[in-house]
Amino acid sequence: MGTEQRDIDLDIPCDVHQVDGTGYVWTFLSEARDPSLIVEGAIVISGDEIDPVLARVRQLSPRGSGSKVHLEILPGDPREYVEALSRAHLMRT
Amino acid sequence: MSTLPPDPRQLEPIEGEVRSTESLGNDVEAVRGGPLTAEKLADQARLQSLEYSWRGRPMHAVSVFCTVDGWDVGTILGEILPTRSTFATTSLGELRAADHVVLATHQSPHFDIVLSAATEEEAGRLLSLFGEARANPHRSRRI
Repeated sequence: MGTEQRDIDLDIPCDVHQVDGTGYVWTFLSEARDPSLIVEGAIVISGDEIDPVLARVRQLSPRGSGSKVHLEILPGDPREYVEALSRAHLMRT
Repeated sequence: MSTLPPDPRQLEPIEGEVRSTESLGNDVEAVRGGPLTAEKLADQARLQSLEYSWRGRPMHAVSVFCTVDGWDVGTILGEILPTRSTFATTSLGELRAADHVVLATHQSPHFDIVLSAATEEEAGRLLSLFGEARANPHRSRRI
């Protein structure tokens, strides 16, 4: 069923069920592999190692001693984006 | 990752995000997408406890989507969880029989299932109420 775990470096993991009143998925900046990548508007790799997703960082909000990150989950599988970019020769190998 | 226990006074009371206390039937289904592991559920419960309180204490909870307000399993999988390759379901009846509190939170059909702790043991008990993981027929990827 395609549940094989792979070695994937997520920019910031998230649980796609973890949605709040904004309608966006949320997590904490402290969960990020490299917090400097998590800026508003950035496209990041999120989700988990089984079902990774592309997401746009919608908002960072201060929370206690850290930041809460709201993510807009983009449609489709990340590999579909890679395939489309490859067709257009936009991928560098 | 933050491992310090949160100060409940700094947490947002989930009571402010409960949209309805309407009594729902035991046949309402709760849908959870994969990965369906105790580790994953415990991790979400941990994160929720760093953000929300319930009854004045950190809220350890796992989020699901339920078949309410016109939503059914298919539309939940296709419109909310199309990025999940697997899913499993349980019923509010099963959850209530196991003494779980299920809160209608944020926007429909989102719900939170409260756990007593963000441990793999507690998450495993919750997971055992869900049926076998199945392939998501509404998965957005063609593979």
